[in-house]
Amino acid sequence: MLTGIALTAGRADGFDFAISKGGLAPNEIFDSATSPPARYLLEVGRRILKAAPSADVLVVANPLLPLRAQQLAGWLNDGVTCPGIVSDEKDFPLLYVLPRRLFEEMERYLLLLSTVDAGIDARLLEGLLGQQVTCRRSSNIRIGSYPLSNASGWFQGAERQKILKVLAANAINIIGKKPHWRRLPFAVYHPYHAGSIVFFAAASRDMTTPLFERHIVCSTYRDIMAVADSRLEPLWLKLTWLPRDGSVGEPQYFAHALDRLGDDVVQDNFIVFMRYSRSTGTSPFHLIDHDRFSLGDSIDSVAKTRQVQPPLHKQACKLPATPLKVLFHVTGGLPIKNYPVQYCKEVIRTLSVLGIAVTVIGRPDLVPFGACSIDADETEPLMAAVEAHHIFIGLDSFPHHFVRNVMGWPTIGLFGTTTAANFGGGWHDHYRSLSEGLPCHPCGSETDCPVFGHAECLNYVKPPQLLAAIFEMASQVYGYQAG
Amino acid sequence: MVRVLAFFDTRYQSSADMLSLTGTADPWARLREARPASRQHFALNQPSTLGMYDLADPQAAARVVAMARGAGIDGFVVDCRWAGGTYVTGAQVLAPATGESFGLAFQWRNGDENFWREPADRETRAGRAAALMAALKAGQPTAVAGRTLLIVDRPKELAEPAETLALLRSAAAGAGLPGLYLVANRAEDKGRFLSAGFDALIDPGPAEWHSCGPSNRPTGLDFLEVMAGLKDSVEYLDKFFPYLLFAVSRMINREQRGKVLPRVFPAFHDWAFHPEGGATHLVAPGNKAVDTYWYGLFVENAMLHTHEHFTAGEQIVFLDSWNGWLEGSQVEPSLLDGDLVYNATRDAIDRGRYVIRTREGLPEGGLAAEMRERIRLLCDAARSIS
Repeated sequence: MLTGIALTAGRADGFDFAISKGGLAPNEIFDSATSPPARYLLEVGRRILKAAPSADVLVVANPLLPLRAQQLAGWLNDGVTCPGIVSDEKDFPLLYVLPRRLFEEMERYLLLLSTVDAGIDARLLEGLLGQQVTCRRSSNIRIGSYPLSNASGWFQGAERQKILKVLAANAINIIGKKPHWRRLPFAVYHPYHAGSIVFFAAASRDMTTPLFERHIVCSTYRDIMAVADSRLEPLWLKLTWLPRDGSVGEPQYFAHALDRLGDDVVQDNFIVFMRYSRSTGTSPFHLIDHDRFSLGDSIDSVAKTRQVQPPLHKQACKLPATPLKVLFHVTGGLPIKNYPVQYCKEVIRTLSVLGIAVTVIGRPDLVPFGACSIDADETEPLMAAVEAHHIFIGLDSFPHHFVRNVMGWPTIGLFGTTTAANFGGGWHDHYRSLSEGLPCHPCGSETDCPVFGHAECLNYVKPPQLLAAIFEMASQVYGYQAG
Repeated sequence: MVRVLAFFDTRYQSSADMLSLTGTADPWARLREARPASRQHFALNQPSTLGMYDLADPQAAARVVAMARGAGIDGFVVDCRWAGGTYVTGAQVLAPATGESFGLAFQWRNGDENFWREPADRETRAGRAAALMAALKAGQPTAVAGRTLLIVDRPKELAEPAETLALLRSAAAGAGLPGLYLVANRAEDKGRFLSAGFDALIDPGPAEWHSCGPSNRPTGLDFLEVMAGLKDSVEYLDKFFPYLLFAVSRMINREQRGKVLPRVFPAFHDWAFHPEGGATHLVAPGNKAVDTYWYGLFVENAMLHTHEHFTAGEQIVFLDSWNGWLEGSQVEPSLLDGDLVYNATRDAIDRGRYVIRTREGLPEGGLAAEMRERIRLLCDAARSIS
């Protein structure tokens, strides 16, 4: 629940919103996993101003808390002034009382609010507004230790909260020290992984109201940024990406990242944490739309989601339709993420019988079944390989995201432990995603199947469905008819 | 568009025709009075927001339908039972609340009648079929392929399936119905139900089709321990299933079972119908009666499956149930769960509908059936030599 109140010439109008599960009704707000709580605070303010355009003051509840407008009214009656913050007895913010000019003239600076420390946020607001901010503690509630993850979909445990506090404190420092702070750029902190870099780049190309100019990215992804056509200027982070094995935590990595970025970057950019703050699996929206919301678009109707619109660009192979050539990337790094090896063999054998040339990336073990194996670890050889084939078939990993969203190539996505809606989505003649649609996914497992204990995922489609999709796409894009 | 139809028990009403069927003026008594016989039985839940309604009250019926529509449900499936002279659905009380966006479908409880198991002359059977069709004329029907949907609960208990179905279709035409879309309550088309005249099948309920093995497999020693009073008898007499495995098993390899529409359910434990043992219990992770996360995925993925595998107009997911209080499968808000299950249902339907919308950009015209068959045969061959 997200909520707020418009105060207009002494009248109070409450507005309750829900985080959308897909309908994006007028009282629903887009569910973006990459948006920090402050992004939702900003959005609630936007919505209230739209509904109450003459409001003088906006009262916005902390998005991390499941509150309703009626509850806010109770706290407001205790005589909070604007600008002000009401917190629990341990300084966890409950609500913000903000002048409309903050939303109209300085909207993006709201993204800097920690939403977890009223003292820090009050100082930040004082710097932004140039006036005193009242802080009042409510003695009748204590939020306590915020859980690692909660029923509303947030994961903002104590360690993650430190990140939000550090970045808010850094913004206070910038505003205090730099007279020209209003001219400093905003930077997205989402430095990894490769697929996410592709999604942010695609989102930046598809923006109507961008709030950011820069993107902190691991320098190992220079090759991706060089071709991904991001509208955000990269700030290179000379640190390898976060290992996926859990050996380094996100907050630990973040601390290293600030060190590596150096004072110049940290003090000349308003940095906003946009790694995941919420679970992706509970939202039906594609990550590109998650990122568009993070970057500033409201996406307040289904029609505005990228996945129901035609793709931004499409390309296709310039070779003759015959012989048809297909390129596979079927290795996810772990057995549970790989397209099952037996399925691979069946698909390759069948395609070969039908006279179709099959190439696989990094799988010499599949050569005896009729495939040609190539290496394409870098972006350049990947692009060259894709351009030499009519259709690309990939798993939920970087090559798939790149080929689909950067190259616009005819692509089939294979989904097992993750959700096509989040990482595939949006069907048209150049794209479709396939899965068995089992109710156990997304399990996100990185070991064995949590339901059956198998090493391989049963949610991957069987060979006949994949082959049918290949032939359908070949026919629709290239006019190919199987012999 | 994929429609979600929820099974609905109309017996919660004080109307005269329902009284003739149930013989009780207090339809909620059984729920109020049911007591678990074991600590392993989940307690039955009780209604909260909608209360113990009397559907004979038009306002109560309208509230029920409005709440179901609010969750994204497109209609109810109500039972049609023989009451010894006529068929009773109890659907008349819902009729004023139905319309274009919320319709009624029916489930014929033919297993309650000996009549259709035994031979009878055609005229008598035609008369009985006409009575059945007359009972289906209540409210706005849920049109499937332009026809009224009727589930046959016990298709194997029809003495002459093909002839009976033809009789029903003829009676429907005579009754002025737009035709029948007949669905057999069977998990797979092994008995050639489709060739007998059924239009589709529906996954049976959890008690009728155990889609995976139970987690309790009592041994002879268990039996002796139960008899000696050393162990809870339900461990021997009842069957317990992990909810997630049970749900996933129903969705695996569906295409091999034929044209079967999915049935989804948030929870299930029917001990109230099995006082002597033999109940089916679904147990969610954490030994809970219901887990809304996995249930939501069950609903959402069933919708996606139906969208991809059934033709437009026939895309239906059956939700079991709206008010199956005695089996713990209710979606209605309850005292123990509040609106958790209701909200999970609404959210899952919302998610499913959104994802389906993202898939509508695909050009018309799939692969020809001949090519699909060729692919299948080639894959079979490839599998055998790989």
